[in-house]
Amino acid sequence: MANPELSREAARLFNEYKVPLGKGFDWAVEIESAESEKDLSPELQKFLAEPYFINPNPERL
Amino acid sequence: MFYEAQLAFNEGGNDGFWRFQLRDKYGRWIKMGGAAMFEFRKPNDKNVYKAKGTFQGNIRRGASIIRVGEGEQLPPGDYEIDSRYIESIKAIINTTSAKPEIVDAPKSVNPDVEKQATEREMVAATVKDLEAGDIVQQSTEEALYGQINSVEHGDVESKINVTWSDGSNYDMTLPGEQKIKVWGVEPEGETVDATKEDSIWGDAAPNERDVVSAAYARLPADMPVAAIAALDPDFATYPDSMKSDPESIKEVAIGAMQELVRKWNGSSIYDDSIKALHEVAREHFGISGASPVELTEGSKALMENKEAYAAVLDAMYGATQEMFANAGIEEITVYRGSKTDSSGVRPLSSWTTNEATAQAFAGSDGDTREMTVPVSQILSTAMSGGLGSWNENEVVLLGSPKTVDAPKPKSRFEPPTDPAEIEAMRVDAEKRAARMKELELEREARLREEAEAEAKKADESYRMAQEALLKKDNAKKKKNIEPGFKNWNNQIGKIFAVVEKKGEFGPRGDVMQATFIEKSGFNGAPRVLSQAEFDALEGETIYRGVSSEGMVSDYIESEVQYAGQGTFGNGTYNSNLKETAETYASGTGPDSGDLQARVMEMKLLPDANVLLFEEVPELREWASQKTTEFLEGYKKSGANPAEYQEAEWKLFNEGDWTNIAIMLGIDAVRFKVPLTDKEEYYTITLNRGKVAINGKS
Repeated sequence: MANPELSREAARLFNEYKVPLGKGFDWAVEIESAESEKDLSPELQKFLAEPYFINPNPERL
Repeated sequence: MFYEAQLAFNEGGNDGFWRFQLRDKYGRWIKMGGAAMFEFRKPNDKNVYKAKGTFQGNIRRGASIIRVGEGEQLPPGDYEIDSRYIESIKAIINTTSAKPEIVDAPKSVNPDVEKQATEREMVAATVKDLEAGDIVQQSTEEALYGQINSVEHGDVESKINVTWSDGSNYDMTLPGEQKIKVWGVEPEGETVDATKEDSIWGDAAPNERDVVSAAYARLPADMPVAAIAALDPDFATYPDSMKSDPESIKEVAIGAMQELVRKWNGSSIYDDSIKALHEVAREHFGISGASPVELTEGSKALMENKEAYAAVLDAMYGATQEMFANAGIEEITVYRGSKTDSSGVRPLSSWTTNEATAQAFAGSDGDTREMTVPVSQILSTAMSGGLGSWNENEVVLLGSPKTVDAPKPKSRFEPPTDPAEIEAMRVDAEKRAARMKELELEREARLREEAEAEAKKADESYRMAQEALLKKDNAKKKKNIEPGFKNWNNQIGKIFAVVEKKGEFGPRGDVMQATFIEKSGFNGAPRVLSQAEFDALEGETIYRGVSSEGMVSDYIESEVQYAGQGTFGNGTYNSNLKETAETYASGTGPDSGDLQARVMEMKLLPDANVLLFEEVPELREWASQKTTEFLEGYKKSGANPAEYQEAEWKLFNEGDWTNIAIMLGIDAVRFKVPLTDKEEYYTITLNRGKVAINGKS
């Protein structure tokens, strides 16, 4: 079960910064099982901290 | 000897005594015949002038007649003056017709006159019995005592000089035979021999209200009291509570009748209501040959209430006839004195049973007529009905013996005795009843037609409103894009344009998804069920926790559903576990009250198109595949490279695959939550119209 605050903030950033579909699912699974940002991967932590560094190109899976 | 006399002052005409007096602008009583000064304006002249005259009496409450003689800035004559502009004065005024004349007030006044007078025993006397030193009382509303200074008895009239207790002094001329009430020793003069006719007058003036009340009691039971009350011109201004209270109306009615009596006794022809009374009497009693009465607009307006006037006349007439019947008098000798030729009289005329009074009216140059009339021609006296002066022994005749052949008044309210007349009335009554029934039926038919027309109009309005709604719904339906990628190819550009215009995020959440929802017709209202209905509905219960109760009502009632954002994809998230919903509801939202009020309990409707996934990778695969499928179709549909690139950029993101699902007509997507031991499934609802919600949740 996700941390509601973390989940809401991640969803907002996923939309705002156009997180590619495949990457988004991976990160969604991470967020779903994390109690706090510390439980997230360094990449996702970096995104949440500096979301503008995300690769803007759509990713195909 | 000392007398206490009730003196009345007349102006010598046929209009009766002036018995009710007025206060001037300072609140002082203006004496009959007393001097008065008033202010006035001339036509087209803003200057205020003053004129002097003698008070002749009230024309109505608040206004009086001032007689102006020669030497003033007004032509000689009688003027109706508002009391607010009158000031009583003490000065000698030489007018051609002012009577009595005013002289300077003496300085000494006997302070004991009232006490001396009231200690005397009352006896009957006449004016010609008065002697210097006698004490008299003026018959005004405010008792005023005076002392006779000098008396000069003539053959017909007596000239007396009186000093009133307020210091004013008057010369006045009164009929020598006028009866007066005396308290004191037996008068030395000849007492009046009471005749059978005189017996009707009694020893003292009657109580006016008692007389009028007796007449009021004779009004027919079927006569609306409000009609009598309408005689009071101020009735409309009275409070509603008074108008609807029978006792209050009765008081108003008696007051109105008293006012009518007072107006008659104050002036029989100046007042509109008296003019109306004359004319109603002419018509009601069938009086022919009487002199015309110059009707004013006011009197014409009052005559619209002629049934009330007629009823009052009947009541007065009935009381008078009863009085004469009880006295055993069938005919009576009456007198009328006039300074001018007055062979013609109005429908109601003033006569007296006292010849001396008539002679006083006639004066030395006038004429006195004597007639014997049947009492059936007498409308009223002061003792019965109220109209007429007690001091003058006045009787009010219907018409004149010369002009009317003893009319036989017929009351509308007395039953006829002639069988033919009874039969005629019965036929008339039947005709009236039939006509009334006819009118009632016509009225009912008209009301029914009107009601039907109204109902038809309402139906038509309802039908038009329904048609408008249907048209609106159809218009909405026409906008709905049918499921299937090919149906959306030409819509994508428009949706992107909406996002470009409104921004990616708006009041209803994610703008792009909100636009997809709108175009697909997924904004239907959720079905709100009772607990029993909800329980009876098959399907999995899913829960959604929100941060405020307002979001619950928004979900149920809003026209456009909120397009939420989620990590797995945008939409409205629900869980099969209530605890997850409670966790989301217990976040740091604006509400901290009832947690359960923020947890919605829902089910998908049986016909909902639901996409099910047991693993997230399956969902990811499906999402990627379907997005690619759409983009390829879009490209084939003729989208240029720029359009394709824009679509790829905007749809191949994590949050937007749900829009791909919407294009395929998928109402909800259910998938198992990863990395948890719990059997938890998320359901992302897209079409609100396929959701049922427990109304108790």
